[in-house]
Amino acid sequence: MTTSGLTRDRRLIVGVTILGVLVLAAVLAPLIAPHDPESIDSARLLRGPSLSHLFGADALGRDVFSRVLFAFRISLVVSAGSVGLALLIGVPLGLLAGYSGGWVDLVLMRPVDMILVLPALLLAISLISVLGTGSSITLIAIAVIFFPILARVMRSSAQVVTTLPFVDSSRARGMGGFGIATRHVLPNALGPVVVQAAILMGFSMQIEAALSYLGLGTQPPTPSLGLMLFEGRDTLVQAPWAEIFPGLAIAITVLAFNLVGDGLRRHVNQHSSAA
Amino acid sequence: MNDVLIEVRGLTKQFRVPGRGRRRLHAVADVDLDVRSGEILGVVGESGSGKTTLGRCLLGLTAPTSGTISIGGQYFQPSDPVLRRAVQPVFQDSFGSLDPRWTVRRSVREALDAQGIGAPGERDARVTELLEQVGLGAELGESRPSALSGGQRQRVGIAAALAPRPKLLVADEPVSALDVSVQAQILNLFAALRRNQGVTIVFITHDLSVIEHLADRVAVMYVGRIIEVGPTDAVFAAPAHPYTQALLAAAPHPDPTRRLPPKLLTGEIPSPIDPPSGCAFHPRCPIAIDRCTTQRPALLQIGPSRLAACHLLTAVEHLPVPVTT
Repeated sequence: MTTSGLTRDRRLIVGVTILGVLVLAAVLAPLIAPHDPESIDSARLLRGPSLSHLFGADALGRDVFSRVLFAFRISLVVSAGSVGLALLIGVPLGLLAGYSGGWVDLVLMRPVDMILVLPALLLAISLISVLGTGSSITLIAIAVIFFPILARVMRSSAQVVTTLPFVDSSRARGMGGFGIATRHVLPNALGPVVVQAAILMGFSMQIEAALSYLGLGTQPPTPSLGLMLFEGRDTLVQAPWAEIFPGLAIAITVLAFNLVGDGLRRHVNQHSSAA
Repeated sequence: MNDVLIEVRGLTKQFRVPGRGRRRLHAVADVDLDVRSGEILGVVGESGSGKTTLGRCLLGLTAPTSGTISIGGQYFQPSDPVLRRAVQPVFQDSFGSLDPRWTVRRSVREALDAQGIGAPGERDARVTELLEQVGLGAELGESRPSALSGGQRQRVGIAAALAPRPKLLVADEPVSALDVSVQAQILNLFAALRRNQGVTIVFITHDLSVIEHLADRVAVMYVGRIIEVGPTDAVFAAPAHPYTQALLAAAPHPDPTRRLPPKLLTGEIPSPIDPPSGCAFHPRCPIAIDRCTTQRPALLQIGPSRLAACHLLTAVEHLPVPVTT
């Protein structure tokens, strides 16, 4: 497919650029971080931003810049992991339901709908109360929230593609159901799912932060953006930087993911209307 | 030339109507039809006449409610790969009938790859040969459908349909979406394929001028039933069934001196959910008699190779030829 439309979309470029910088920073965190994110130093409690501590220090004297870098690393792994896992479950499920239709669709999608009606955070919290806390549990809990959304998008997209004449042609050519579903329906139906996945990446970041803020996600002393927000709230007046910078990190990342998602959506819509 | 290739007997397809209890839509009702080897059979009818469903049944894409289809004497089962590839579709929407993400080569090869026809190394040569047959250069092989014109796409669709060497092509409105100049080229291509390769073609369309140009025989459908069958020349020269007469009279004619014909067809085609009793055409028929409202006319021989279903036509009896369509 053409990529010219993608490279000309300004919002998409901005989103991808921001994400690129952030991902690079996360990957290179051990090299960039000027201080150990977990080292406590009573000499610099609540110190404001300076050259040696770009984002200042928190109530335990830990370097906020280094902590944001490492926290962002974990958030990114949790987001990518949870969306990846949700794709792994949701895409085959939605494809099978959308392509097969009939009772297969009914049997597969009814449980999915039941998960979908539960409030996201409530579902995550109840899962965590059963499975325990920690980054990997958070990842699984978010994947459970997301896979029904992706399965639904995949299903409706697959339904549309399945009605196109080339699917009938393929059947007449002797192609089996699995071949048609994976070679014709999947590639043509994936566009909206990719868009949804990009937007869910940002959403995942927010859920991870919310869970960590509640003490149900990443556990101290490992830095996490949500946890940093929680820890900084007591000293909000004296040291707002301990609160502002993790908050900004979340906001900018979510914004970037949404820009990418919107850009991709426009591209996908253009192509589906042309086809 | 006159061997029967496809034998359709008592073909019926009903669809359940959602939310209407036990009511059913009678898309195709009790159709008997023979398709002769090497002929182009035109199937005409208004939209809703069941011509597309008939085509889909022939392709094995829609399972008939009852009735049988046999190909070359063998009972047609879509699960049989040899019989399945003997019938190939050409669809109206040349954009939708090719996967937009597949190259031309991959689409044309699909049947060969799916069924393991020929050695993998020889398939590319076969693709080139097929593209030549439909008047396209092999260099188009790496293009995607979006880079092709409507006519080119339809040619690619025909090449892909020819790949498994089918006995029958079912072409459902294959030229309706094309410009008139391109239409003529594609119609000539169908004619050439029949002439040079002996491909049998069932050509489904609402366009009478296309049928007149291309088809050897024509079958006219009305509310799921075939109401007249015969050689195209004979039917167009002297239509027997009042519906065929009305249909032909309503078709625009490229003769400015001809006056517009009196409007014979009034009202809408009846719903196939509640087809009229007796002859389905009686509510619109200018010459209907009482019997038409109660008794359904059978498809009877009315002349050499001609059949029609109308009470007001007398069946020709004691003909030396056996009664076939």
